[in-house]
Amino acid sequence: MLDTFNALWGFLSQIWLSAFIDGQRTAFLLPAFIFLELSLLLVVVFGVLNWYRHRQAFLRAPSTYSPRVSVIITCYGEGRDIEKTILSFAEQIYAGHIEIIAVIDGAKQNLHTYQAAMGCRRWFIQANRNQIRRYPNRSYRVLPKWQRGGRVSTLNAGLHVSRGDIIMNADGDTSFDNQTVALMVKHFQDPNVPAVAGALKVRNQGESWVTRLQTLEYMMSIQCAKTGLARWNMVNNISGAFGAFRCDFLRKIGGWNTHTAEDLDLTMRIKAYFGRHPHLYIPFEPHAIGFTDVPDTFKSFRQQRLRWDGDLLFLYLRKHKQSFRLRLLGLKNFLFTVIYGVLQEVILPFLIFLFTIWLFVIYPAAYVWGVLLFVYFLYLGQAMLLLALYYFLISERREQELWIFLWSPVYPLFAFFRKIWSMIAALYELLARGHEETSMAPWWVIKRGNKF
Amino acid sequence: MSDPANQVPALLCVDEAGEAFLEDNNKPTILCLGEPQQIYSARFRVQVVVNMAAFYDALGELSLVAILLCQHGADEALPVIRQHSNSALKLVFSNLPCRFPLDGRLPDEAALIAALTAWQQAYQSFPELEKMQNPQDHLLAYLALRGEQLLQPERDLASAFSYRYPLIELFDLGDSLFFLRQAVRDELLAPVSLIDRVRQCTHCSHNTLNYIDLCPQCSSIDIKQQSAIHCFTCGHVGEQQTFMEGGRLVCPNCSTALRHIGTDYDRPLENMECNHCGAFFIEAKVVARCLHCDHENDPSDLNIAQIQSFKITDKTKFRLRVASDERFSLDLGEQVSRDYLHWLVDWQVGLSRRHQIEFALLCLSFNRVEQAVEQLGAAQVYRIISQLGAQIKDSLRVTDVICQYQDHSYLLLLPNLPFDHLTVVQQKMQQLSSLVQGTDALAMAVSSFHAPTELQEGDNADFLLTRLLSEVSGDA
Repeated sequence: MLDTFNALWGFLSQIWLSAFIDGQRTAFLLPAFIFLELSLLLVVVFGVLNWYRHRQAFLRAPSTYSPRVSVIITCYGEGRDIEKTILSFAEQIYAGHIEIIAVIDGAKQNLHTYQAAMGCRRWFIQANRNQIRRYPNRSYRVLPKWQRGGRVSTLNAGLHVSRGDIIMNADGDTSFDNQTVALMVKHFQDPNVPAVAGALKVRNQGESWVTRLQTLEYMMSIQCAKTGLARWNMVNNISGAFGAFRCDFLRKIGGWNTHTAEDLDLTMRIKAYFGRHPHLYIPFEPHAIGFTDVPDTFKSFRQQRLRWDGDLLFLYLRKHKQSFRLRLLGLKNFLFTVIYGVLQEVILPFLIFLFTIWLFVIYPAAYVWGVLLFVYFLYLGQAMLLLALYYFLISERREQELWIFLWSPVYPLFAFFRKIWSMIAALYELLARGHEETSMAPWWVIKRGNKF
Repeated sequence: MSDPANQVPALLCVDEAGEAFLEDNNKPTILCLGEPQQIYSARFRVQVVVNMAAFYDALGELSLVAILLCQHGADEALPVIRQHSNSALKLVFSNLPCRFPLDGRLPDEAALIAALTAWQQAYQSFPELEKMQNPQDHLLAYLALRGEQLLQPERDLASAFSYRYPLIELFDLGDSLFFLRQAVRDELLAPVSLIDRVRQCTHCSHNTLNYIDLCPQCSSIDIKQQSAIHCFTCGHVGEQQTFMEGGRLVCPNCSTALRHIGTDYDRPLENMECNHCGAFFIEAKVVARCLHCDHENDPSDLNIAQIQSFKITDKTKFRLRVASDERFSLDLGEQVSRDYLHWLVDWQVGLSRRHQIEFALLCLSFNRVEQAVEQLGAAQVYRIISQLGAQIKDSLRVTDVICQYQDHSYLLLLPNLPFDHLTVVQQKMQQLSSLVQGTDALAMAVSSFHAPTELQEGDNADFLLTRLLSEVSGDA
């Protein structure tokens, strides 16, 4: 055991030594990492540190601001799972009124979900005059859409009937911590905030290794990365599973737009005002947490990512290519969107793939494995850094999350697979227009949208 | 109803001028308390009285046909009128408000004559009315004369059960519910419709009840509804307020932050708390506390009074038509009361258990007396019954105890009678119908019981007598 380790260590030191001596070769190895990953990593790390410095001041700031909040819960085939979502909003510790709207898409086919939603009404009504109301400051309505219209139509229907000053959208399979609404609303006290991005964690963490690795991924890419990015007003996406918007702003920009990845689309459209209104700011609230169910098998995970990554490319390079202008996004967000949205998410996977192939072609296999091991440790270091930042500065459930460090050695492999898979998704989108196969809306809705 | 044979002393009358005068009293008299607005023709003698005492004296006037109450005091006068044997059934009119039922507003001459004619016709169809003296018969006759008027309850919040029966008060028949129970049992009145159902205190029978919810542990009234939280980490249950800490929920017991409903905490079903003993509970104990006597009743134990309206039965009409309870009764010699019979039977049953004393009970019943009167006429029925009475009396011993248990049912207690003797007695009874012609029309039935041969464990007088009666009435 020890011998093997010693041999491995000696081998690695040789590579690193040669890398130091033969500088050119190393420089060729690492451009992707340094220019793309490292620049983003630095932005995130300093963002989190800066966030942490100002966190206590933000929490302590006195507030009497408690506007009416409308929560649009998009329900489809979740069945009785939506009860958890509705209950978690009813249970919010929030002084103002919360209007909970359960919009059921295709209530005819999803009768089970519809009945579950109707059953929840009993929590909000008074059985008789003398009974005190269980949730005095909450109201609830069910909005069934008998004909299926897709996710976007569900959200817009909810927006149409909502009467709140703040609109929150939530997935039917996501339940929320009881401080969520209060923390989200606190950001809207600043009149320059048009929207707030909410955090997501994995509800079914312990189900399989796929969900465990996704838990790690969510912690790094949502909790940690978004906290850091939002500090510099560069939040990449307001999640479709959980976000909050100022109602009049949302109505003014026309609500949600059809096509897949409506959340990223909306984020892009809000960001398109940043160039003309530099004071606008989209914060991210890492302690307003929705717990959502993620795919628990490797196969369903691959399918989900094929959709997501394909949609990313569709949105950045097809639908919103006209948004890539300095005048619209402002310098900071222009650079960020180019680096993150285009280079890291779309180009980098190709680079990594081609680079690995090229290594195997040019160099002897043993050397290549050594290089890959080196890259592995590089990414492991990155993961450990982000996890540590998350664990020590951001996490609110530290006692339950120490296990993440145990799993972190596996994570770089998972991340490598993610990159390769995202290249396949990009190819699929480019060549086969994968976004048109979305399951988020029926074909007759997709057909009527603009083609890109 | 003037009766020339029964001359009464002339009464003092007062005319408009206030002078007293004498008037002949053969004409039907209308007695007025106070000056009536209506003017009646000379067919009637209108007697106007303003003084209450004089009015009460005048109630004995035999030629009296109607009474008009034209001045205040109707509430006082009406009970006196109804309890006076002469005026109990007479028509009374008034325009003034009155707590008791009247026969209408002051009529004009034509209306008065119409009302009187109807009343007279009804009166003549009940020839026995004049002999009736007790208030219960007066009430029944009152209802019968007014076209089988219903005995209606009226809302009265001062009453223990929130209703009163003004007619029962009017005829001074005591406790209404008790009277009605008796009357229904005796088949004099039958319920028509259920008007209300009133719950009463089991202790004082008042219906002013206050329903209060109490702590099921210590019965304190000091309870409150609250929203409680149940911490999953340590199991602590407490009011939500005690968990609040700067916009977060923190368990006061184990200091765990409670963030997610269903994962960290939930709401217990117990949402009531007692301020006195601190118990948590789901549902409070409800008691009905009587505001009169402070007795705490379990709501499901409360007495339930049925408030009904009643009508007179065919049996009542028969009684009013033929009246004479005695005429159709067997003359069997001296009788004992029902209560005494019960006591005696219990005593005999006790003796029989302890000393194997023999005795027999015999029940005789005539089930079709009313119909027989219709068919054969009262005189014929009377003849049959008196013959039967004589026959039965012959076969009884001096020591036998006789009780007319119901109108046409008789119970005989035959002490010290061996079982074979009882069969002889039964045979004699069955032979009666051949001895007395027309007995079949009365539908006579006989049932018997012998102790100790038929005595069962747990038998008592109530049970035995009820069984015998139900056997003869053909119910069983």
